[in-house]
Amino acid sequence: MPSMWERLSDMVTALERYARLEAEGVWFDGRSARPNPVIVRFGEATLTLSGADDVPRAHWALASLRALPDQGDAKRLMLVPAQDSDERLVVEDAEMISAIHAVCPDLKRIRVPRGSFRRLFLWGGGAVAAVLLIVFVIVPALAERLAVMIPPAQEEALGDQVLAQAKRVFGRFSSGVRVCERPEGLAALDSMVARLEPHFESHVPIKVQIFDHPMVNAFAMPGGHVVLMRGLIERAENAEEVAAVVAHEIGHVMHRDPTRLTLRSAGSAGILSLLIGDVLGGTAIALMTDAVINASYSRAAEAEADRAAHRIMSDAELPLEPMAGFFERLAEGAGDRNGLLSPLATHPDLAGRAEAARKADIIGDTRYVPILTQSAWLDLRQICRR
Amino acid sequence: MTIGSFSNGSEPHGGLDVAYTGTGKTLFWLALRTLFLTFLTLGFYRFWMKARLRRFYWSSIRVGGQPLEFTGTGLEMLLGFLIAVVFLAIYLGVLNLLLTFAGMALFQTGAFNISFIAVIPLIYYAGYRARRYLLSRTRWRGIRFGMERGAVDYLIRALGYSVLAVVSLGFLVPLMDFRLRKFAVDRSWYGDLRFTQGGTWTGFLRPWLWVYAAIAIVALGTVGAFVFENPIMGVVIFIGYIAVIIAGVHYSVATMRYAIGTTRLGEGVRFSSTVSTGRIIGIYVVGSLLVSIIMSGVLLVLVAVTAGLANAFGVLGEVSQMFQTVLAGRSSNSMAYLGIGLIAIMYILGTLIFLALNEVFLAQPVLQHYVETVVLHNAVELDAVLQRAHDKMAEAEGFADALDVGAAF
Repeated sequence: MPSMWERLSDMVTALERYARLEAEGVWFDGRSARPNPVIVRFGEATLTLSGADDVPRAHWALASLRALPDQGDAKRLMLVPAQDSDERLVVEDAEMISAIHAVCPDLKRIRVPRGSFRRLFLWGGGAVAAVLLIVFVIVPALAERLAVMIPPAQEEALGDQVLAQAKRVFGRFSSGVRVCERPEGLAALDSMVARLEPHFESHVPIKVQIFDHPMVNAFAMPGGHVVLMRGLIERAENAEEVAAVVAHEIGHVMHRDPTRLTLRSAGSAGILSLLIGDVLGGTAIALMTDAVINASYSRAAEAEADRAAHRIMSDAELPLEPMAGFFERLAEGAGDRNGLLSPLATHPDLAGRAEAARKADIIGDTRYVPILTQSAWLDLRQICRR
Repeated sequence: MTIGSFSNGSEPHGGLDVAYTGTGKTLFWLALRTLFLTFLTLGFYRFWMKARLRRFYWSSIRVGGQPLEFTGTGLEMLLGFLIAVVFLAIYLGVLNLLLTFAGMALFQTGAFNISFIAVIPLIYYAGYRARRYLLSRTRWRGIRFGMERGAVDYLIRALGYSVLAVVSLGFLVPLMDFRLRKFAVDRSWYGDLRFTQGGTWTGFLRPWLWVYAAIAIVALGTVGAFVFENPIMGVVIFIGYIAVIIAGVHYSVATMRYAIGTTRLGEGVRFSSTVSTGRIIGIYVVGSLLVSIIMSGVLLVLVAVTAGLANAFGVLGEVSQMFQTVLAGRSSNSMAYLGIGLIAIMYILGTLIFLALNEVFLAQPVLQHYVETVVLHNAVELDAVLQRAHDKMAEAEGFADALDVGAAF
């Protein structure tokens, strides 16, 4: 520990000491690769580099002196007379290095080249615009066209991929969600679909299955996959309500809404992940599944699917009052505190859709053949029992 | 310290040694710090991280006592990335439109696969440009390296050789590797001195035959498994896979050794390399082991700290339930969020430490071995090398960056 007096005298004599300080260094003049051994001294606000003959070869202003950052060896200093200079000076003398650090506070300061931020701003804006153009113009246009052109076999392959991912998403941890397969329930489900089957024409066969999940929701996926959640069946008061939901999802399949949505998100995700560097495609599959699960079709697409459901139900001589009632109950339950209803309840304009269903109803108070017998309905409600 | 010692490594006959001076400690903290900043900035800092790590690595490589210098900047690389995004987005967008309207014939396995195939030629283009950027931002003794333009020619040749390689069932892969390397090296400069790749592609052939032999073991094992239905064939296949990995490493090491040994700079500067496959594999094995051992310790500490903090916040009891409540979407429980946040932070911290350790125990030792086994012979010409002009390259290595095909460093 130096005494106070010693430190004070150090400070007083610092400049003087630095003035007399000299060290060896290697100077590169920036024009040739020849190393020039030099003696480094402090001049008047400069660093003076002198050759072996003691003749000064260069004077570097201390104010503009810079040291190269992030060097692997802390025991040597690589100096530059000014930021963009080609010249270099290598100093290894510890005392000289600390002296230079002491007299040059700006040693690490970096001046950003002029116009950098303007160019960054321009190209950043360009990049964002290009990505937006892709996501909101080009890809939707492509998806629109491809959804209609895609051969059924390939649509089904796409659907299988989305279905597999959806099972993973709704499962806990790594195990996928359980598909409910109690035989009596499956038989009831089959007879429900069989009643609707003659009354619609789909480009892909419709495959309905039920996930063991409490959410009150249903999805259509590419390739004719229709998925109902256990929560929806439990919430429904009769089989016709479930049938109306199935018919609605069939409407989506017929209009290729899920395919359009999947292609759209797959295209966006695929191109984006290429741009960002994720070429594994993991993001793409995850994003496109997410899009289908959180399916936000346009109002027009929903209305179209509803109209398809009205047509199918009416052709099958089934009432639409249950559909209307189901929508109304969903709308009331929107504020349900467990929040499980929210996915369907947030569908826009449930009241309007209930009204439209009621208007399309042709059964009224007349008798009709229920889509399921009472015992089949009970079987369907228990399809997830093990 | 004498002036003479600055140029140590100078042999009497004008040879220069290459030394590596980087230490694990400095690298670890630099890597961890920059990785953390990258994470905090959602990835934007990665350009600065790359610049800083390169400055470290370059400055640790001393040729004849004088370090290399990387002069690229993070700002420059970010700008290059943005430029590349604009061009790639337009390219992919227009290409997809054309493909779609040309008909469905190409649409086989999903819309994005076509885009991926369309990007393959760009990968070669980007690779050449990235190499040019790296060289133009490298200095030694204050003098710039550089590379001539030629990415499009390189791309065309690469596609041609790829066809040859596929048609010859892989036999001509070494021809492709050698010729593409020669194309790039012959256009590389140090100051006003040009590099030349000598040798012939047959120099790459012998190590490639080992790869072939290893693949043959796997093929024989697979055929054997079908014919004999004997579990011993599983062992053969396993040995075959190990052999393929070792032969693959040997190919990359041996071709590098051959290529360095046949490279010339200017009229008379020659290089030699004694890089060894055994050492490289040893580094991978020992390095992976060390990383695993250290990571186990780090994880233990992180878990202990997490549990301690969870206990301090009184959320330990929630830990068991929180995943279920949160995953079911019913997480009004802020304590559960706190617990999950704690675990997430520890997980991210662990990942960052793991990446930094990989840099220290794998990337750096491999680089060190490659570098230290190189010797420059008859290097007297180097003293007379003159400066070359700055290569502006506004798009830097943006294409390689966007396509994720950047050089190893």
